[in-house]
Amino acid sequence: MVKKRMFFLFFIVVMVVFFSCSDEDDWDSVTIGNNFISSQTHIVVLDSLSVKLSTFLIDSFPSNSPGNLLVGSYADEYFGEVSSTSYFQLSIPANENIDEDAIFDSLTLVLNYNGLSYGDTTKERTISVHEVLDEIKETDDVYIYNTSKFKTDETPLGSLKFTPEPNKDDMLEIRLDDEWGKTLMQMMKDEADEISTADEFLDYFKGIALVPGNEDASLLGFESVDSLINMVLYTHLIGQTRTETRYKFPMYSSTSCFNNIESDRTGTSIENLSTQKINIPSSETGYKSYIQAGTAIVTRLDFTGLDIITQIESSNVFYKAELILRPYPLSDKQIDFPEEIMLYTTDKYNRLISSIQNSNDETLIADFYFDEVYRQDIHYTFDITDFIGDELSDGYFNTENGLIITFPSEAFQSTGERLVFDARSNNAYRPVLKLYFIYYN
Amino acid sequence: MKYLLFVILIFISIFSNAQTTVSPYSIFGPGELQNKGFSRSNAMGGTGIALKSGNSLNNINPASYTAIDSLKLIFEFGVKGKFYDLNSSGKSNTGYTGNFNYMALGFRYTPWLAGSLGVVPFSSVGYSIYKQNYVEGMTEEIYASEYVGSGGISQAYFGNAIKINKHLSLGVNTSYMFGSLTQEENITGTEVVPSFQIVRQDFLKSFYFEYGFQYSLSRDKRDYLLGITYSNKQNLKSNHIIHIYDAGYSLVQTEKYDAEYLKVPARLGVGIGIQNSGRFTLLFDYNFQKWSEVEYPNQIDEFKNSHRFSFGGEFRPWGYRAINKGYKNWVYRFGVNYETSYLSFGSKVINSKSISFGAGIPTPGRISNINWGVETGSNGTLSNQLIKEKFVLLHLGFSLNEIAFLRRKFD
Repeated sequence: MVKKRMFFLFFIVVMVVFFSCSDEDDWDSVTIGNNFISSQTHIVVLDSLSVKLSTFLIDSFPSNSPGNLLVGSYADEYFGEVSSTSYFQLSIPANENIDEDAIFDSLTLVLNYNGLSYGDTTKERTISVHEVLDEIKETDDVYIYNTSKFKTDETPLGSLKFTPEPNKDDMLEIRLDDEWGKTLMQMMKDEADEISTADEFLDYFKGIALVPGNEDASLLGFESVDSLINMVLYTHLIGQTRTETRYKFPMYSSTSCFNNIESDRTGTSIENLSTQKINIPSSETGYKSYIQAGTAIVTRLDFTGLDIITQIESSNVFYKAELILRPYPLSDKQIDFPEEIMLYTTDKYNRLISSIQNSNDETLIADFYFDEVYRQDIHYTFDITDFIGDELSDGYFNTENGLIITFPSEAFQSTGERLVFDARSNNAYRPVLKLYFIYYN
Repeated sequence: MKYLLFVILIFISIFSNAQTTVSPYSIFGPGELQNKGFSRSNAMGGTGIALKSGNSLNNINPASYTAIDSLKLIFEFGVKGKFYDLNSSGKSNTGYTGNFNYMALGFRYTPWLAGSLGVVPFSSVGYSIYKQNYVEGMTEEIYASEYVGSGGISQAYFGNAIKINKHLSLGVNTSYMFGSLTQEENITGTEVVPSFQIVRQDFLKSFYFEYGFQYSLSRDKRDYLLGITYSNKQNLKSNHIIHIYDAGYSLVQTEKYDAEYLKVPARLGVGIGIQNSGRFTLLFDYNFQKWSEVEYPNQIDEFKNSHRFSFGGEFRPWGYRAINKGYKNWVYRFGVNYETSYLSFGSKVINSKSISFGAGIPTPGRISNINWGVETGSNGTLSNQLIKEKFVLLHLGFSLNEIAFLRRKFD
């Protein structure tokens, strides 16, 4: 009987083990009709919070060592009459030895196009070369600012009326005054003190201003590298054969080179821009806001009602914030929409505090959606998840803090780019902050 | 007795992963509810409200314990296996799952007071469902969620029954509900939605009560049986824990709180039976559960009240004689069962139906029994993009009596 009972128990154990094995590894998920299960997770995109745009003028920013020279003027539909004057100093030629018998041919200023142009390039315009009468120097021993101006001789050294073909020609050559050219050549022959060193020459000749005429044409960009800006003295010798010799006076230094970009906004919606401390709401500037490089106009963006989010009661994970800004329709008729815009954080004094970075700690540049053919839904998008997340992390949003929208500094310093944002309240145009949440229970 | 302990230990070790369900419908409510009853009832369509505990224990009605033979300590345990075939719009999943099912002891204190304690399954969860959801606040932006559920609720009960008189008994089962339900929601990332995993878990810690009544009359060697079971609406308490993981499986957020959303509505069961103890038993049960009074967070359609009709019987065609050939001493059982469940989608109520048969095999000495049963049926429907499950359930149960172990002394 003991044996039998042992067997019985053994049988039970075997049966239990046998029954317990399962092959559940290869389940496929089944699909059940979509209307039967109510999801306890809700992915919610909120885009109803209001985003306010305003425009203000940055008082001044360092403008020496520009990425390019910018010379010209044009009348902008939104920004008024814009003109840019370039300043730079000249150094002495590397090959100072000049033959006593050299004969003067001409003196010119040679500039190289860099391909940038803002406005109507097909129009004829004038560029005059003026002698600068003040010493070009840093205002505070560090920077020359965009608002800096230096006195120039009223009579130009030379002037050229032309229609540029920056895509066809590499360079622009402006003929300068022959008499001064001859004077310079004589100084070289005499090995005069004025031309013995670069510093002596700067005392004698303080620099050049490239001044645009007042035509409605365009801003033109030229290379601002030392070796690509030259005043050239052409001479020749008559011996057994005719020998031509050129003497190049290159730009002295890019640190004393800058563009002074000005505009006359009279008659535009933004004619009241005056100081950095006062930002004018878009409702007072035609339901638009503005950014303009060079003249230092930027857009400020404020979020109102964002603190509502900190009051959401149900459990949620905030995972993304997207800022969508639309350029004003057809505001690219004169100048193309810029491809790169960026953000700074700011406070109630409109100070530029720090630039918004992407996840690689680089400056965050907006994604630009531009449908050239149908021109539908043209917009810029910033992923500002980290900014919003940081702002909300302490459960409180300080409404005095906002964002400044501007161009990357190089473009902002020395280009003619500008952008007009749509700030109308219609859903199709208004600036939008999209907040993405996972709600769960 | 030490064998008994040995067996109990084995089963307790297996019990922790007692998941026997593979059914998408188990995403709803507390999971797929497990029919009560031990192997004897399993082979009779799940009937047993009117059935008295005799040689084997019946936990369907706690009032039945008073009929436990006075000399016996009854030990019941069972295993369950299931072959399933899930069909949903052209797709088919087949497989097998099996596990330990239940374990219980029945005993008498006095001629009029008896009790039982045990561990039985209450509900079971096992599903893997794919669903498209919409992003709120955007038009036509969809993302996919996969819901993977597992776990189950077990019931450790202690029941007592009192015999009021020759005809009438009353009983109560007091249960502690334990176990865990887990749902992993895997969100597949899109341009708008990041990949996320949300794990929702309930760790149960709740009491549950069931009441029973049995009445019997004997006329002409036949017993006429009536049983009623009732449990009121009860909310199961659980520790609800939510973990949210991002695409790199790092924990983003955790929430823990006490929940009571697992609601079990009131349930009423009525059973009648007729019995000639040596020869046959016929039973009919009706169960009603008022699901319309509860709501769960993930349901869209309202729950319907559920109705379950079952009919079963057992026979000894040859009577019991020690000299009989083995199969002639078996007890043969059959049953049918039809249920309109509480689940209803659109206009479709999820129904299940099954037939069962089996037998009880006396072990040498007649004191213990091995009961086997086979149940086959279907659940659900293919219409309305729903799922139909066909299944074959194997039940194997053992009724061991203390006397069986005492007998060792005489060997």
